[in-house]
Amino acid sequence: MSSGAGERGGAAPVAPDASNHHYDLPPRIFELFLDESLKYSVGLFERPDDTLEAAQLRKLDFIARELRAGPGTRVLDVGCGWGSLVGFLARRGCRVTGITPSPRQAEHIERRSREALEPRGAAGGAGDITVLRGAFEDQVLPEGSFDAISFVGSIVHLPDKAAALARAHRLLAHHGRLYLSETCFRSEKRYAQFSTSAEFGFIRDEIFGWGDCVPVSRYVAHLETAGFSLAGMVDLTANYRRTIEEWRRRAERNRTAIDEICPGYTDRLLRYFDICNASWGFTTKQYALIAVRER
Amino acid sequence: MGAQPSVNDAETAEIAATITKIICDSLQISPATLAATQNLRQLEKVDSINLVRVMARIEDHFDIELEDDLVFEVTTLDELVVAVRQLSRRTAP
Repeated sequence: MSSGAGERGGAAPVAPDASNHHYDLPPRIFELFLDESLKYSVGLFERPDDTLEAAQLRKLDFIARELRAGPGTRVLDVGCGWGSLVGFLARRGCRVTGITPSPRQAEHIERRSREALEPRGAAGGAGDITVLRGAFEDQVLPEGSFDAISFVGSIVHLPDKAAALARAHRLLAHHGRLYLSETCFRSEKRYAQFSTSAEFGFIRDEIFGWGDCVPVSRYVAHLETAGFSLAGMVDLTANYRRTIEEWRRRAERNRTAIDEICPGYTDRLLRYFDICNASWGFTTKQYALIAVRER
Repeated sequence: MGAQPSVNDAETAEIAATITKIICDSLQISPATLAATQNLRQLEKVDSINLVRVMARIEDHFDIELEDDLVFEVTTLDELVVAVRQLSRRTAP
């Protein structure tokens, strides 16, 4: 076990309140640097001229395929942000439950979901959206009641990752699928060396509030322990570098508007983006893991 | 006193000059403040990610891949020059 900010350390901060302060900023700030769906995670780029919007739409489709999500699929999205995945899946006819500790995110999704699902048009969406407020750990949910569960860049904020994945296993029905993507230090060695550095401290404490980028090997171990079968692993690191380049360009272009809402915030965002993009491949990786409850 | 590579030949001097420029541009410091044997990690304005950024620029510029031990543990300009010199010899046509 490393000496870094440990997921099992006795002094791990309580995540929900701490991680709220970034995500609970006015959504307008995020509209000024994210794509139109406000997907705050890695896109999937295929062509040199792909827009951020195209890359994020392709990524949502990728997640949906990995989850085998179609009409009637019961999906739980843990840490659903502003609902890009929730909305996408509902338009495909899924019955989607999103969880967020941020009241502003919850309100945003509820407002948007009414627009997204009505009229139920060409996309054929007959799905529905439920938003649960609060921490994943505190939600009362029936065991075996979901066909698919996603953690898209959210489990980093949960102090007890082993318990979260064990719970996900219990919440899934037989053959239920799990999609988890996350920023991970590249190894235990780099985790020990960099997770306590000033730069990552800035991102963790001053941008997000709390997070712990454990190496991917720990997620693999937690999934195994929880009883999952591993079905796949994808390296999304290069895609995240390009995604952040796009966010950075937009943040710079909209500097005045961002700083009007939250003075000085553009520079903080740019510092955060620059640290991330200097780190990818050297100290950090972005991986997606796909796992199945087979027994 | 500027950077003086300890191995002295034209190619090494050129590599040292290029690396010095990359370091100074990245960290926005004057070449005059950078000695060949100085501990890079103790320079003003250096944090661990800045140094990783410098290594990435060196790799891009010379089209080489530095060993992880060097990327994460390097202390002096001299060490970097020697490593880049060896790697660029290995990959030279």
